[in-house]
Amino acid sequence: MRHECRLLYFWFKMSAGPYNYSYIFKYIIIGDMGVGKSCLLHQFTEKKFMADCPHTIGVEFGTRIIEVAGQKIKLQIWDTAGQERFRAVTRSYYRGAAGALMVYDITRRSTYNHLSSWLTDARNLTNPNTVIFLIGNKADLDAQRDVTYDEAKQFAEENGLMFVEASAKTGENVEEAFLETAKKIYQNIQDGSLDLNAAESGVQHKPTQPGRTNLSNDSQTNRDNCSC
Amino acid sequence: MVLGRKTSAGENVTTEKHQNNPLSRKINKILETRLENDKDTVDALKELSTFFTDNTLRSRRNLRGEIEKRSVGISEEFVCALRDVTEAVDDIYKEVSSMNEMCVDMKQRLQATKSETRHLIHQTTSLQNQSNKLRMQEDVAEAFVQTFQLTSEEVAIIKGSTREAPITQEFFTVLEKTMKIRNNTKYLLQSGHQKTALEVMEQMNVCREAGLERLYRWCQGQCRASDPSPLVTEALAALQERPVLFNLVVEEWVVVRRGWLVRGFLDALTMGGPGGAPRPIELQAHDPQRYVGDMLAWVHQALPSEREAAQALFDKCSNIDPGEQTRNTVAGISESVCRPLRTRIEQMIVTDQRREGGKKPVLLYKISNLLRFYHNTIKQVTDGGLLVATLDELHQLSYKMFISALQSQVSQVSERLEPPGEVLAPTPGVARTLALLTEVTTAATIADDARHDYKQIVSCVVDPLVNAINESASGLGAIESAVYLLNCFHQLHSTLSLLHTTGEKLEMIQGQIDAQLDTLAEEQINAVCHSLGVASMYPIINNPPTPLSQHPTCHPIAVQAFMTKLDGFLAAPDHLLLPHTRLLLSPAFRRTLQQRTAQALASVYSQLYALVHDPVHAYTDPATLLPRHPSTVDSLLT
Repeated sequence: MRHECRLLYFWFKMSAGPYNYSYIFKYIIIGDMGVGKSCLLHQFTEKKFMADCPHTIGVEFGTRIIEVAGQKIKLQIWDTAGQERFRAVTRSYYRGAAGALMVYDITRRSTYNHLSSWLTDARNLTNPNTVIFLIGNKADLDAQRDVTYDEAKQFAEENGLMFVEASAKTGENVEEAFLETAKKIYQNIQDGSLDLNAAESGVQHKPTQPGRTNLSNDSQTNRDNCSC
Repeated sequence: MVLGRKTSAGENVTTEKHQNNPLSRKINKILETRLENDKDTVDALKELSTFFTDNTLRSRRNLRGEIEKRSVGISEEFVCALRDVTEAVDDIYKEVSSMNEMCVDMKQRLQATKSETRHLIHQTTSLQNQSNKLRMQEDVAEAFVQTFQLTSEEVAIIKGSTREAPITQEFFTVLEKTMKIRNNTKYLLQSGHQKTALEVMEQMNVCREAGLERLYRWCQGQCRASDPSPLVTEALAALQERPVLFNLVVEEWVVVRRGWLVRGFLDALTMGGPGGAPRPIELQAHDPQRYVGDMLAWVHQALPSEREAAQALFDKCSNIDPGEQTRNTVAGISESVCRPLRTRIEQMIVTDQRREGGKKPVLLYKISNLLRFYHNTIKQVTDGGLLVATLDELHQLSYKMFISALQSQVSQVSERLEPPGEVLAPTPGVARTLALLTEVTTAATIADDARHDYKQIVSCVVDPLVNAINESASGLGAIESAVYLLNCFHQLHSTLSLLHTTGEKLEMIQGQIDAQLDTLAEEQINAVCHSLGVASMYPIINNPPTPLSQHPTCHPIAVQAFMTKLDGFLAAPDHLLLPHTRLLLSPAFRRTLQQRTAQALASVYSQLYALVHDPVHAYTDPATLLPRHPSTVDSLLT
């Protein structure tokens, strides 16, 4: 399986295709309402801060091409609504995400307290290889801080998450969060723990064959060896 | 020696005879001769000294001979030498003569040759001119070929060495060139070379036709490749001028991707992710909302990739609107998931219909809202198409099913609505129905335009319910019925008022409430008036005879009895109220009733007070009879 995967991978890399990138990574952004998920996405895709961001209706979508280890990678980012009423819709978007950005607001403790339920959802609804990245947003509002860096860091470490405090307003650490996630996913591809042939691994070689499955689906990677 | 002597003698003579004597002059001349200065003489003497060694007589005598002999010898030698010279000169002469002859000969020959070659030179010159002309013609021809013809390599590139030869970037360069050439033929036409122009055009057309035909076949192949070449974009731009081929390629693209999309969808449905995580969507089939939502989300998430692929495909097409073409293509591709999606969702809707339990209208409504949400979302991507139409139909169907499920459930409850109990509170059936309404309306969380549904939903629930309530109240007495209805309507009203957009229904219910309140208030006032004994006075004080005190019902004793009872009532106002009004659930209704009763009493009292205190009516001691001023009573009552 591993061998075959490599072969295919190599074959894909050989032909450039009509698209100027080699992979698509699917991301999902989750977290309570008003923590700035859409603003983070907007900051990342447009490099601008959206001051009066309306509530997201259902799910929104953004893309950007980045480069990791010399490979052009297209990020396909699904920004979910934080409002409880959309939970039924947004839950369906976890499946097949290669990366999940879990966002809380450092000035609102309740958003931090809900992280464990978000994490449970993410773990239950994504595949085991999904890289989960914790973002403490609104780092520019340090004066109103309600969650310390250290406790969030500890939470992240306990749960095997990557973590950074960022600000969608100033742009601080926003790039880093998206890029680090991509690097980790890429690393998973490189060391073979992410099966590119499988449907809904959240990674595609260009948008050619949506969710093509290779029938030899075995490698049951357990949660331990993909720890993020 | 002798000579020297003679000379000296001669000198003497000269001096004497002066200069006239020629001899003397001669001698003088000799004397004056400076022998050492005369080189010839010196040489001669030197020469002489070589052979005249002995100055003897004999030798002196022989000297002359000797000298002559020597002279002869020298001459002979000279002659001899000269002879050699002469011979040499003769030789030279001979050679020069022969040279001359040869020169003349050569000259003649040259002359002959020259006359001979003149013709040749002439010929050469003319040939050279001709060659120049031809070279120029060649240049022109070459330029023509370059401008108006394809090289054999180019033709090979266009036509392809084999059927399966891949298309390269050069292909498009050459194709572009054929186009340019075809455009350039107009210059040929302008310059009067109609025939050439037509021939060139014909050639180019043939070439282009072959090229485009080949390009089309290649594109067909690329459509089926999992990883199409970037040149497909250019190929489609080139194929634009053959709409038939262009559309065939697009069709093939759509067909191939349709297959991929539906296969991916079925895989996600039945196989899930690697190692079963995420789980196959069909495992969620026990949870219809989740199942339907997952399927629709999968389709929604597959569309951006398709859109992007299509966008890349039409990127360089200038004759069409790439946006519209992309939308149509994506719509075409997405058609493939319609069938599996429709059968599954229809099954969900219909299966759910048979399911027992109170949740089913709510669930149907949730599914209906999901379908509406995705209908709107996907419409933004494809702007129509079969998928959007399917989602719309499914939404309509689910909504219809929802309404009928809601109606049947409400009618079930309504038909079997329990008769009101002793407390006259709304029966559990009413509460259940209202809870259902609330649940349905709060289920529409994801649809922002769900409020449009409310009117219909509310009608579905409220109209039969109101009828059922009215019916169930018909077996009760007027007061009980009014209290029961008020209790029910109160609950209905507070439930509906939370829904904001139910103005009409609220008005209707408010009207019913007002009517029932009127009824109840009348009953209450009657009852109070009766128990206070003022009921019989009432018609009389409205139209008082004079004097009133003489009228039996308004006799001072009766008035006093009323006053006593009123005092009692003022002390404990609840005591005389109808017992059933205590069963009213709404404190506001109770307060209203109390207020109306109080107002009625106060007005009766003030009327009576005015009459009693009017001397015309001849009450003996009005101040003792009705001691309280109406304003006091009014304030005490209210």
